[in-house]
Amino acid sequence: MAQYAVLIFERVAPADLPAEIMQGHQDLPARVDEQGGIIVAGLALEPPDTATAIRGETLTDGPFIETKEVLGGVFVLEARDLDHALALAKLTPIVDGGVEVRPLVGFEVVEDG
Amino acid sequence: MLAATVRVTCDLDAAEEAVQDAYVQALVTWARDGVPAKPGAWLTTVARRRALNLVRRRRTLETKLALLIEPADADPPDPDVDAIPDDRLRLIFTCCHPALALEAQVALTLRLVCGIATPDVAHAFLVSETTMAARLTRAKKKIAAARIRYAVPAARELPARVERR
Repeated sequence: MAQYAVLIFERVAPADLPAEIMQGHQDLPARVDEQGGIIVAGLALEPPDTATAIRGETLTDGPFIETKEVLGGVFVLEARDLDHALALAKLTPIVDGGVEVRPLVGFEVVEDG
Repeated sequence: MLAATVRVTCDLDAAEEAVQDAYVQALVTWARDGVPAKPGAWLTTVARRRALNLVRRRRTLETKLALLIEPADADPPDPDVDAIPDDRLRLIFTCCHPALALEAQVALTLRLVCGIATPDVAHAFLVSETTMAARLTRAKKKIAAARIRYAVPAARELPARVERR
């Protein structure tokens, strides 16, 4: 198994997400588990207007990179290979946006036996 | 030969290395004992054995344990793979995975499946040799880092993988 980060880009703010999408996020670990993967960790971010960027000594209000699609959250999943990881990442509920799947460096999981 | 060897290593660079080693060994052995009856089969066997050694050594190094080779895929063998028992086909599907850019897919297929030299692939794409070499390296790195599977896709995935663009 290998580990991948799934970056969630969503144009709808977390507070405005419909109930079924929130429920979808709640159910995600179980659905991933059913398909032979594991969600190792997950985090949801407050909207980008709450961010503070630091470049050297300068502080600026807002995110480091301004984009229309906003990084709303990240989770780490364990999958057999890229195809498996992509199939699992597709389960992520999204209103308007998408996800990016990135392999993590040096997190190959050696299974017992 | 390369396709059969990648099956052992699951790593394109290591497979290429093993194939080269097999040729080197052929130069030495054949000069001494004569050319075997089936030179192609001889080379493939030597390359695969060499690849197996490379994989074993790397695994031992990585885990510092005398672990046996991890099965390449924990899944039961896919019946569709048996329906099309061609290593080259697997290699083509790996090279043409949609997670790779289209130019990279075509260049990688020409280089690894058709065995066309990097400068010639570069000419075909009207780019410099260094650009093409970098593109091929990037694609191979992504295959390794993202773990793009070395297999023919399952039947339900096939239509999407074959009829694209």
